[in-house]
Amino acid sequence: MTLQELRAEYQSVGIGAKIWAFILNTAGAVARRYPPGVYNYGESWSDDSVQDLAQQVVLDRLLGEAQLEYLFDQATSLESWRRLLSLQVRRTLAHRRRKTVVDRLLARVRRLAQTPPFQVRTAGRAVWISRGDSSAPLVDLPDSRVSQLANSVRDIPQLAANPRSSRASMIYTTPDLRLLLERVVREVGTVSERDLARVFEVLLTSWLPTFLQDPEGDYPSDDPTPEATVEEAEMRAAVETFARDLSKPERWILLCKSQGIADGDIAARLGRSRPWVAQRKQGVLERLATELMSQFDADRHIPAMEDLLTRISHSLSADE
Amino acid sequence: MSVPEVIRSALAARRPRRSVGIRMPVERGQVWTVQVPEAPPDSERMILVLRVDSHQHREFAEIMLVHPHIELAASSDLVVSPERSSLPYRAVVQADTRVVIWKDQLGGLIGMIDDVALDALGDVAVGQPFDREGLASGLPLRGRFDPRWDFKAQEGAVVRSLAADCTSALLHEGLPLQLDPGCLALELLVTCDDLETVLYRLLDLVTSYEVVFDLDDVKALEAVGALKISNWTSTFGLLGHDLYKSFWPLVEQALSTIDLPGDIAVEKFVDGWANDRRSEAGVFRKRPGHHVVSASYVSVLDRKCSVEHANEHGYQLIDA
Repeated sequence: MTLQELRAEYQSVGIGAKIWAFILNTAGAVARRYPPGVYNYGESWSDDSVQDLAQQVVLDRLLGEAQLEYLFDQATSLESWRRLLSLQVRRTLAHRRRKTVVDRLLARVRRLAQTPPFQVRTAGRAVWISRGDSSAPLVDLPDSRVSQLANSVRDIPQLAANPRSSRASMIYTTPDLRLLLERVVREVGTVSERDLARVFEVLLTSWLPTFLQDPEGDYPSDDPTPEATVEEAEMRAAVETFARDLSKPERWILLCKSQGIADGDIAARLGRSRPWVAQRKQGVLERLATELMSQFDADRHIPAMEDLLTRISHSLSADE
Repeated sequence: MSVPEVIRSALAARRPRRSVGIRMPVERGQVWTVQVPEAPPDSERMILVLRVDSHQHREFAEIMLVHPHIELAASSDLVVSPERSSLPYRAVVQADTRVVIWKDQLGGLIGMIDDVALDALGDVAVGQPFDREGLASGLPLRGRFDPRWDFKAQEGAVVRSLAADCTSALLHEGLPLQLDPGCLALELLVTCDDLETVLYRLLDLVTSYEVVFDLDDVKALEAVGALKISNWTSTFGLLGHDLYKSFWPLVEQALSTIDLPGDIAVEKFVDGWANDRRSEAGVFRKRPGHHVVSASYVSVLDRKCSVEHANEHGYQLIDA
């Protein structure tokens, strides 16, 4: 098989037997490295489920987003075509995971919207959420409006979670999800569930698994050495001890600062002044550097911080 | 192996692609493939041409990197939908990757984006909001733990590699860079709209280019509080620590140089840029024989005016 043969088939029929076989093969090779509990609706990877995935890759990505054209625009060899196709398979798997997260958020929104000041309306199969007194028309939002809406609520902190973990994450505490919904309906009057899902998709950047940095689709990574396992365990123990000693405001400050949220917004959240937050921030960052990070080599700082943020988020959600 | 019926139906509904001539001259708005130097032979990228010019009889193009992964779009990127281009897929134009490359580095022409999108790119580059059909941008990076951060770092490496030869020949022409100390004034830095991008660019600048500080710069840095590592860690955490460590050798180098007697000291001068400064930015004097890198946030003018002002002086801005 050569790229020229694939290109000839693409120019004549779009996707014929050769390209389809290539897609099926690649989908199977990539998918079997991903845990089915997270990426295949809890079912093991079978020939049928790989075929379903391959169809989804074609319908959602290669044709739905015209990425088939991108593959042929960009590829200069059969190997580069295969690599670009693998990336589309990984993207599809990443979207499966993100869709689950968004669906969970929408289910929580639906429950929140049952009580005032919100009102739920249905039009055909579409569900719309508005403020009780809103007479705003039921209109779909353009892309730019969705971006603006997402931007207007980005100061609401998201709870961190390990994107590769199979454990469910709240993403937002319930008061924060309510706050997000209030702000959205205040901005646009009425929002469809479909557009709200689009807003969440823009917001959930932290739920984009690193599909671009994983060229071989390895999942999980290679087995660690015994030394690395010991180091990892020591790091987690140190992080756990440090996290346990943090006060609740310090947890919010660290979580918010990791997401670039301004001191003023954190102060409003904690019911404190901005200088109070600035002072606590300086203290906790100094402790972070001297008590925790100083124990590790520089290449462990990011994993240690990710672990810390996950633990902080877990404790903040448990406090609800 | 037969192609499933659902895929054949989707193929039948596919719209034909708008064609672009393959022998067109290189022009503003075109999207080309380009081979990245020192990368595997089949790893090509897409770029958007902004301008074509020549230098000593050799043609070059001012370009921005383009990719199709809309999930990774940040606030410094413009997402161009197919209605605004001849590409069948959405393209993410990265306004923070504006560089020059030689025209003979271009590979194949694959499409064009329209004038409305090109105009909007100017707004994205200076952080101005826009609302135009078929165009959107992403959210600002949410800090070091945003997965897009690593992607942006990779893109920085790609663009440096692409532009190294041409940039060296055209822009710097062997001249060192003078970094306006006001760029490192923490009080002003924290007011940036897209703080993470600016910090990343500063880090990239001081580690990858020949930036030279002199004793006056060191005094100015001290005056704006940039020489205390605790200020950096308490304000920006680990990233602040990294940035401080990266520019500190330049400070040491300046401190180790012998101060020239007054009569042969390098003559510096005050220009309009030095006059329209915020007091928190400290003092700035242009050194002859240097290319100046400054920031719009050191200026008392609004962002748009300060960008125009910098262009008049031929200064590069770290945040535009």
